[in-house]
Amino acid sequence: MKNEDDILNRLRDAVVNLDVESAKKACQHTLAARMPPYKAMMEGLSKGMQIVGDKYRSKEFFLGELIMAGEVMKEGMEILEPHMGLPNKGVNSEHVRARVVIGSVQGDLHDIGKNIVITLLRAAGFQVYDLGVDVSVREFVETVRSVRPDILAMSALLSVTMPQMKKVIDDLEREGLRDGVKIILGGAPISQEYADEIGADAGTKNAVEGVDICKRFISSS
Amino acid sequence: MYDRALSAFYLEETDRIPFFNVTSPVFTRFGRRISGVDPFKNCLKATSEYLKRTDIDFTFQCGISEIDEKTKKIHERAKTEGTVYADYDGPLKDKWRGLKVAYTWLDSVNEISRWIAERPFKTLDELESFLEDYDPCARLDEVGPDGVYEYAPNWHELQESVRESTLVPGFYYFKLWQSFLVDIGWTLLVRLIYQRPKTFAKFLERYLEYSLKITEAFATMTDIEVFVSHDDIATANGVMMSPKWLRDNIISKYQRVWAPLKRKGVKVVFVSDGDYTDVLDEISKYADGFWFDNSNPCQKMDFKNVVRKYGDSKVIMSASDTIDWAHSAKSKGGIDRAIRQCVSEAGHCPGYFLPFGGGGDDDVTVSLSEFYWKTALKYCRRKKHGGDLGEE
Repeated sequence: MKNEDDILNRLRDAVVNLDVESAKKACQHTLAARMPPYKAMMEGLSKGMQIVGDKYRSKEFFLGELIMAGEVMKEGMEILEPHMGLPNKGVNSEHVRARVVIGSVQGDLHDIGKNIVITLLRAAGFQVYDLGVDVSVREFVETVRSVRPDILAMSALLSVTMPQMKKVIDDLEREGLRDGVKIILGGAPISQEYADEIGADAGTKNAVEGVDICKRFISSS
Repeated sequence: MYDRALSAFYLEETDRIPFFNVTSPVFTRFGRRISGVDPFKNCLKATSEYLKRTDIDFTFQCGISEIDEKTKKIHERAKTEGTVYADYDGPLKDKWRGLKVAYTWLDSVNEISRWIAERPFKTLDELESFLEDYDPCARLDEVGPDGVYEYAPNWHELQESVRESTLVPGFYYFKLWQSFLVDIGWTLLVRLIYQRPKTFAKFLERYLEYSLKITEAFATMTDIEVFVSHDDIATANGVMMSPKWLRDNIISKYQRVWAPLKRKGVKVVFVSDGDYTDVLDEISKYADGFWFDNSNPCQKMDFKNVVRKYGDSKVIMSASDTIDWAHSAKSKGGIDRAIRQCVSEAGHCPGYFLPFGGGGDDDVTVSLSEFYWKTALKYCRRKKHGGDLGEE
């Protein structure tokens, strides 16, 4: 047990210290010690991501640290995942907190904010379907239809691509898919006012806050 | 007036708050109307007429090159297809083999947004090997002596055409930090910084040399009085890296980059997207002023705080936090309130410039633009010069 705690602490600290090599070694020890990889992910790496998120909120960490912590987590997951027997990246269905479909809207090729949100969501136990960048209105709508996610997250950095978000929401309404899904908008030009204006449930400029909102969606549903 | 702008840079009180222009008349309906010249037929003439007729004292816009046929074709395709992906077609073609660029048409500003969509390296080792052979300065050399300083000939041309009316600064879209970031992308740049800091420092030196070449060119080839130094180091959520890291690795190098200009007495204005409040004090050690676009929802610096700290000692080119212009100007009342607020908060500062035109204001009507212009003229004249601004 002491050994297990030690490995979990090392996994957590590797993420907080932005140390890829330590994370990889600790993941190897996880497998050697026959610790369940899911436990290593949630109680080790993800715990580290939560601390990184807290440090970002308190301005001890900045965007660079957030991205690097995500990279450390990703490297660790590459070692753990093959041993988890998962159909989809991140979490086993029995542990899925909720499903999120995410993408940058058509005309927008920015993905840094989106990718940070994905890392944080996965660390928090969400199953994430990443549609990538420059995602068409139709692709969002069809994915919502087929995946039936709890949350749809759309990202835009350019104010000129923001109207695409409204088109997606309008189409979801028209096709009777809107009621079953919470919609969150993210990106530098996004505000709660804009989200209200176009019929989304939430809007934020901040990746960490976005994940907090997703957690609230799920706890209140 | 040129002299009004220059006086403000020397923190001397002027007859009215000077105006600074952000966009080219190419991008504003008001600009096209007031210049009386089609900017697509004669960009220089349209720009100079616009500046003279509006009495804009300082213009940020300096790139007045005509759009070439090839670019026009890409614009047309992107207009109909949304986003167009193409091989990188600029200088350094060989060294950038495998690189794809995405062109997206932005309706509201009537121009192309150009992004690097695919790079020829995926891992840190591949990146390091790529960078070993890559010299950012070569992109300047390959364009040739005239092209290297593409903005310098433009500067001469535009400054000559508005000699009395408007101060035209030197400008180049170079960025010490941002060039590196754009060239290799966020994820690998961050990994390089944290995993191979010495390698990062080595290659950063090359970007410093690249930036230095440009400032040296402006210092030797032009008679600029002011240089606008652009480097995006922040997002809407604050600085990209920790203030300490930025200070040690980037901002401290601005002093070296700006040295050729400073030796000639050129004033330097720093500009970045986003909220760079956390490093404002650090930048203020080297820069003569700041420009931040508070009409842009991605920016939002604390205007009052900047005015309180630097209103007496620096040039401030910006607007109140509540500026209601490019993105949301829907009423004359809103414009009137916004300008009055800017004047009330910063009108007493000798180095304050009021913005004229936002980041992308082709969707603002001509009548609202005209109202902004006339309202600015009304509120910005200082009392001892027949206006309403200042002490009794």
